[in-house]
Amino acid sequence: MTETTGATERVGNDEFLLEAESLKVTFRAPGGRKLHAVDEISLGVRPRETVGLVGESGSGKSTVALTLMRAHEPEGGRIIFDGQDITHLNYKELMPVRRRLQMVFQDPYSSLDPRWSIRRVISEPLKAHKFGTRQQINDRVAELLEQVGLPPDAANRVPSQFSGGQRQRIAVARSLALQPSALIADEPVSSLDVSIQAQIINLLRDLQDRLHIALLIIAHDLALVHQISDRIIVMYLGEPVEEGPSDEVVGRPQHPYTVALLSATPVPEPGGDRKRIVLTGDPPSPIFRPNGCRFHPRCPIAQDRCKVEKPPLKEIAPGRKVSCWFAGQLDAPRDLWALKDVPLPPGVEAARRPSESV
Amino acid sequence: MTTATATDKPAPAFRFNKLGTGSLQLDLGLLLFAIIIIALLAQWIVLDESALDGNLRTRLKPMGFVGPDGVRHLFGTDQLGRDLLFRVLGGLPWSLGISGVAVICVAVIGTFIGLVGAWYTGIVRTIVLLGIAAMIAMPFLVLALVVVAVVGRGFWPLSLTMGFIAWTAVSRVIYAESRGLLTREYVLAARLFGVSKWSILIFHVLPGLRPTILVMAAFFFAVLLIIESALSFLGLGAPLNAPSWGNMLSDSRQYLTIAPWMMFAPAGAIVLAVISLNLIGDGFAELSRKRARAVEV
Amino acid sequence: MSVATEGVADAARTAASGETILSVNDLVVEFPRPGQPTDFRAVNGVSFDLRQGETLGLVGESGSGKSMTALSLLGIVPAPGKIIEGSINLRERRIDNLPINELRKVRGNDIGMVFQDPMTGLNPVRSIGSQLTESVLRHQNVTKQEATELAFHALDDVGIPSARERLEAFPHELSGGLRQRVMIALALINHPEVIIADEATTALDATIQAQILDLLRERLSSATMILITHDMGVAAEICDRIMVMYAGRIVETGTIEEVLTSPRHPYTVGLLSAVPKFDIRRPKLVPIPGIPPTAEDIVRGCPFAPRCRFAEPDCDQRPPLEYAEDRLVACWHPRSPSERSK
Repeated sequence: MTETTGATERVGNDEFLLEAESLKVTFRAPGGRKLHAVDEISLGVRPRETVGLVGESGSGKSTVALTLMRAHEPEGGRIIFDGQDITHLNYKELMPVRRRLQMVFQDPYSSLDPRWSIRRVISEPLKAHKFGTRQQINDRVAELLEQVGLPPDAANRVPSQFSGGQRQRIAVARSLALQPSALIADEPVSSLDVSIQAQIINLLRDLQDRLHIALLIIAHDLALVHQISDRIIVMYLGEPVEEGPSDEVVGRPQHPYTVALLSATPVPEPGGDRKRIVLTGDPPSPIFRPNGCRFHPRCPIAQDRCKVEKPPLKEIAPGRKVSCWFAGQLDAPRDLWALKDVPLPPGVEAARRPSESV
Repeated sequence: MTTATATDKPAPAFRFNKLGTGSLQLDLGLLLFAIIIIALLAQWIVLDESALDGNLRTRLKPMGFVGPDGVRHLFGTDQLGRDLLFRVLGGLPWSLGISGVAVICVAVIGTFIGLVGAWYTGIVRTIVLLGIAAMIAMPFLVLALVVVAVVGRGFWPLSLTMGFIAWTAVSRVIYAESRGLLTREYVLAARLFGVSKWSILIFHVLPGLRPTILVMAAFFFAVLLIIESALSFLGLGAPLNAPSWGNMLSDSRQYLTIAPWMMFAPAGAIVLAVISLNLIGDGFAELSRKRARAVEV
Repeated sequence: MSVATEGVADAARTAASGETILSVNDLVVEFPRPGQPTDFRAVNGVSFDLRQGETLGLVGESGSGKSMTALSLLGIVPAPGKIIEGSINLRERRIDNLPINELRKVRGNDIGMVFQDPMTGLNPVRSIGSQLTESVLRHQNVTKQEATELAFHALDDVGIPSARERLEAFPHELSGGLRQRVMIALALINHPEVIIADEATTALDATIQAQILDLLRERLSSATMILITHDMGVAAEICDRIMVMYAGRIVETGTIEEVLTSPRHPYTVGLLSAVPKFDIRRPKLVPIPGIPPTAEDIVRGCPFAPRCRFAEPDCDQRPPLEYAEDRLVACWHPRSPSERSK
């Protein structure tokens, strides 16, 4: 913990603006059992960087987001923001952090109070932090509306007069009100139409470029996350299973789950009736977790060792981490592909180097 | 930069009819209630103070009887010769006042406790819920008796007693609804911006509770009116001479066989008031349903 | 343009060669809109043929009318909506104006439907076995024992493990993927001619969706199916032919290969440019500006014109669905392949 006399000592990795160190979050399930939502994840987002956290339901990705915002209390590990350990700060101490770390939620229909005018919605964080006079607040609201591409008279309307995409823009405007340096977007476009998703994604990207924000984006759509992120972390059952630069993770996936997820994502390209790796069985329960490697019951290449010993998250190259006993063995993914005779998704061909042709 | 075009949908206000509030019940209820209020005002403006005095020569006269001074007693006179209609009007401030004050207490206390129970978890919530349950278990009548015995009768003892005991039903409803409202994502968003819990409760949750509170207030008003009348009827409420409707009913019991009309006036007044309040409550409920449909789209 | 009216039926004959099972002609579904000069047309003149053995995709976003079209096929358009024009024929038999008892025989027997949300498609208070047997007993002339056997086989066929035990299970005891399989079993159990899958995989995780699509593709490869989805990628997985819908109308048809490689309608072009595709080159997504028309809007001329990059003055007249070279497109200025990428 840092002292609060004079100069405060920085903790954690200096590179990262927002960081989680061995974060662990458990809930109590009905029947008194423990629900292991998040089991030891470490991640970091640098300023002006976009990190994508991807996984299916039960992966714990949303819990990570909410815990970073201190909406949940972690059972273990720490949360570090701008060199300061914020894991156990109380409500009052968190206020300066809340100015700089903000969140955009998934459902634009319930994240805005339907009885409030847009002006009131956007100025809520401003008022909570005593931003200034009413005139200053109104000016800021107008400025924010313009930044997200909405007309100034939107401020006088209510959310029900706007479409889902527009409401999401309002939510983004609200989260930017206090000029945060880091933004967490939890499934920001999942409930929107496909043609609108691109609008919001582009908006987030533009804003990040202009305002130099660190962006952590949570999503279940791997293609979307690949499109917008610099780095990707793939989660399964509360743990990170693979991490690395986006193109690397998608182009040369090292974990069987990543391969399966990649293969399972439908892509609107011809030749779509390619064979794919189809995982058997259901997504596991965070209450009753398998022994050994958590993925082994569904893994197409699971061996005896996998059922008993849990593979650690190993750094096989700078910035490249995988938790699989076959990690880093460049043959493994090729075996996977060969095993199921699965052609690579389009665009991924380019990443393969000639020396690695099968 | 991508720009979006705002749709030109009209603001989602529920449309007012040419006349009226959009709900038949509410209109009727307000109308009846207005009649009551007008009558209330009328007694001070139109009628003579002295009409409340009794004239023993014209006691127990039936409805429509015209007294020697030319005054027509529409509802007859009571055992002291007092005009019953005027007495009923005189009872208005009592009955409405007592129940009105009580309703306000009930609404404020019930809402506050419901909100506290909904927001906090753990030991605080347990205490609140146990407290509510304990309060429900208390016998209302016994408590009222005790209070009257200790403090005496009168306007304030009666209304505050009712107010401080009858809030339990409101608190439970508010508790349940608030819990629902607190799960909304905009509440989470506000918390994560650092908005204080009271700001959230007052500005996010309370507006959502307003229709419920209004509806409950209307119905409780009616219920408390009846309770007040019942207590007065039993002799526990308003002082003996006050023209409370309950008192008047109590008086009329003795003369039921010889002057049955004595009960018409107070009974009619109670029925009218209760019906209008119930209609108002129904009307609020219907309006809030309509509004909810427009808002939640 | 007499070519137009013939062309619709003709185009349907391109890929599949089977006979026509389902034929929809000029279907219009309207919802009253008080206070406005016209009522709202959720489906505004849709015609298509479904041939034996083909999987037809109805692709569109919210408000496109794709779900309403499917509901019309089964006669379950929610009130106050109504079919006010057009006809629907199953083989030679007209089914859109059947009396309710005849319609009930069609549902579940001739046309089976798989819904998006298994929690609302399945009765939560009854065991899945009882729901299956109920459907069998209603449409087939068998004993209760035989119905139970059929139910068991249906569950087994869709890949549900321990099918015998699962007959007693309730929907909430199963995972999302298994529930969806049960829905598919329920749709198939009476061997209907046509299966309609309405966003059947939208609510599922990617890896589970892959399982279900696999099931649909393999087990039903010879079935006649309409797949409704907003996801072009899903359509690419299992459809032979697709129809793109916008604002209640069909704006483009073709085989899946054709539409994906050379989309003609600006909406289709826009849709494909707006979707991330794992492309390492990371082209910036090109969104379609604006939003689709809502139920309150009054549409004049081409419904896509306000958002269309290529709109011209003549787009204020509604374009008919007609041939542009070899495919049907509803556009005055359909794009040619060279113009596709930006």
